[in-house]
Amino acid sequence: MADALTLSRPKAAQAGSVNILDVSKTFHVDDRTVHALDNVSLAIEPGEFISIVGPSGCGKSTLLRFLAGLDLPDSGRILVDGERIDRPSLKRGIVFQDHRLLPWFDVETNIAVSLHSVAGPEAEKRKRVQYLIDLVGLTGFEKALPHELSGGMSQRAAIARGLAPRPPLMLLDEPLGALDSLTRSHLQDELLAIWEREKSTVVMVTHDVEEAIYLSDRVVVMEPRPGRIASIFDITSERPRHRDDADFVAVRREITNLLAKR
Amino acid sequence: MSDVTFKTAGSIAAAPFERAAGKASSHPAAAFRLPRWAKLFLLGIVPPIALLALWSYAVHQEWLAEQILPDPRLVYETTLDLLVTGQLPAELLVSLGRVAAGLALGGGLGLFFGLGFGLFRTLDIYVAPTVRAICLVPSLGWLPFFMLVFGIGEGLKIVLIAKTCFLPLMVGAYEGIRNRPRKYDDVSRALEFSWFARVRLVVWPSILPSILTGVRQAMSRGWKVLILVEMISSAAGLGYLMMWGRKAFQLDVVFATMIVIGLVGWALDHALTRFQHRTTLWSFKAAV
Repeated sequence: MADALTLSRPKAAQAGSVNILDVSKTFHVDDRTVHALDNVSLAIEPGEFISIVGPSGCGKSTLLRFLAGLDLPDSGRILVDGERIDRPSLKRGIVFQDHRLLPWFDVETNIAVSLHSVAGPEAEKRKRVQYLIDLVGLTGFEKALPHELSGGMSQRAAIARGLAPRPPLMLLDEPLGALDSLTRSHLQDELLAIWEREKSTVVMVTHDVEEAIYLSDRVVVMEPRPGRIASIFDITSERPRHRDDADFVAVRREITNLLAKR
Repeated sequence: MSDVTFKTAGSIAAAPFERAAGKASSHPAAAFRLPRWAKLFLLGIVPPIALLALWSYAVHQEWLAEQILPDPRLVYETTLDLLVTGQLPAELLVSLGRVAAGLALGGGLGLFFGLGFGLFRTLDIYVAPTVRAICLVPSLGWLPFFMLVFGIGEGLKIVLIAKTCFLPLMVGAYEGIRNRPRKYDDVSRALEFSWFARVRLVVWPSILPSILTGVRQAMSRGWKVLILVEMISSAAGLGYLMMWGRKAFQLDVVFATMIVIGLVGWALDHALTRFQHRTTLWSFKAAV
């Protein structure tokens, strides 16, 4: 059971720090051994926006599932706020690439189910759900079923579901990967606004280098076979950033070159 | 009772198109044209009317003896007669009661076993083949044995219908569990659902469409076997009425009963289909 729901902002400075220590994972597929992750270590500050980019098979999604507690590493430890992860928790909200809204519930219920295991008065939960619906711009679609929504709207609902229990750490697994470029850049700005408002730590996996630079404080570049961190880029320029700024272009070229070498 | 049933059948056919009709009639150009539901209704009654015309023609041409193929007008009068005297509604009520009891008993057990086999691999491997083999012996194959055990009273009919309703629901529940989308399990884990919440919010809604399909199949098979068993041993019900008509060589009664059986069976299935659409609409639209 999670702690009681608080509508007041959590003390942001203390919450959402991540320490990944020597994490390794090996998969066995048809007698072949795949080193998905090989001694990966990474420290993430509270309130940071971190993106992980890399070619498929570099273990970025595996790492995110570890952070969520959906899978466990073979060796190594992951600490969130000093606590070792051994199972999923509402303190770490996850948004999947395919929104994974429950197709039999409407938008409102889909967001409300994430507060099902949270203690607290119903009225306050309803208020929280309505606040989030307004926040992600789905006002008027409370009673719509997922199949009636566009891809972008579904993803907004999924983000609202992830945010509802006020997780100090948000995990985004290519949340905008399946969207067209217009919807995508629009949602990127919304994501930034939400992040600034909720003051949570965000770890986002993406394959879009530009998206990573546009949003993040740091961009982690990973490489495959075995999956490991190749390099970490600090993006220090002020937000909102522009994709044609000189330093933006320079960093993008550097990361793209790094990825192209393989 | 029967009157009501017929009315219901008609309104069910028209209902899905009411919304569309509202839209069409608000369009100025549609003033001359028939509303959409009326067009669909007219199209829908063409096949039955064609059949009726063929029947009348056959009677008129005396393709078959009058005692074997009665005049549609006679059948109509007989049906009206049976309705007015209250015999037809009474027999129908008896039949519907039997189907309801058989469906509740057999369907409930089928659901229970199907869920059990779907959830527990061991049960599926060791027990399911026996159960399936028993089910594959047709209901009428069990009749001689059941007659000796349960006599020829109400018990026999309900047990036989229950046996028929068992398999569709068992298969529906089983397939529902086996094919349910696993990707939502991650969601229930990430949201820290309790076991009970997981079943109520994630598992049950995902298998409900498959179960409702099972209910529909069970109902239509149960309805058919009911008529059969009522023909073999009964003193009431639609099957009995039909048998009585045959023995009295009143084919008009037989035809009247046939029509009622067909229409009521269709209405029941149609009502269940609409119910299924309403409760599990998402499963017809969403690619899970």
